Amino acid sequence: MAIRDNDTDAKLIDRVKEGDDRAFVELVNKYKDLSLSLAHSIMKDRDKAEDVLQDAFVKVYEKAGSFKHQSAFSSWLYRIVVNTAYNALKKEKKYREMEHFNQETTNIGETTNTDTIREEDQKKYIVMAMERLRPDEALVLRLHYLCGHSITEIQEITGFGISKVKVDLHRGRGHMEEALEDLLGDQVKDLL
Amino acid sequence: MEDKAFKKILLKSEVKTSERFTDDLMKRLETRKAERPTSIQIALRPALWGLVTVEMAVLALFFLVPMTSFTVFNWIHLGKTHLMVGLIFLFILGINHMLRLSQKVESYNQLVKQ
Repeated sequence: MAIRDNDTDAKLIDRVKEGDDRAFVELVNKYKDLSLSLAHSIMKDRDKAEDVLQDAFVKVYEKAGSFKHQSAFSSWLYRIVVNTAYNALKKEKKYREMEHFNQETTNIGETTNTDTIREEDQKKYIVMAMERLRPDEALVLRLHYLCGHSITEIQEITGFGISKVKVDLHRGRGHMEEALEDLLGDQVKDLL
Repeated sequence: MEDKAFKKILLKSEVKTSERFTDDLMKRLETRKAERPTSIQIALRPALWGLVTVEMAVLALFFLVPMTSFTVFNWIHLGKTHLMVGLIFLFILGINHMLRLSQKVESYNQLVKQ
């Protein structure tokens, strides 16, 4: 997981502005997984999320000159990723479908009450549970718990109001717990 | 579920990019760089449009003025038809170049604006 390091990021983005592509590669490698997780929260599909992320990083590269260090680089990057993902989602006209809580399940493999879930499968079940959440809820949850952003920072990144962020965090947690229980039953405790 | 326990679970929700992600991205950027209009091209755009307009005016003049040939310094003697064909060819070439350049600039501006 990428650790937010504003000074290092600021130096790297300044080098990108000067045309240093190696600095850009460093930034990409540092933030690509967390950014993909955010895009996945919205797109609900890994391949589509990766396409969105490619577009987002192209924008970051082209717009690097306009970055004024008024916010952390990570916040600026996530804002571009989130906007690109929502625009892509609107283009696909899937937004309405995703508004409803998705009850469908996808089978990863059979789980039995006696087996404990392997680490690798745990991640798959958690990602699957995330896919069942509404895009806004999944996004806010990942920004808060995975990226470590505060409610105010989430507001800046997403453009949502403070109350919406709080509601999405609260509801998202509830829905996530329901989805995990639905998928794993009593084995949820194995995740801890 | 406690906040700490929930955070522990969410930390496992990270989705990893494919191995070739960065390489694909850098290749894409290289392609874009090659397609991007240069600052000279952008600066020359209004001047080129001006040239095309002047050429159009000259064409119209040749078409309207009643003469059969055109002489420069008494040693270049061009027939009106040959001159017209040459000017029309240059005009189409100029328009084609301008349209391609405009398309390039527009698509670049669109991406930057998004």
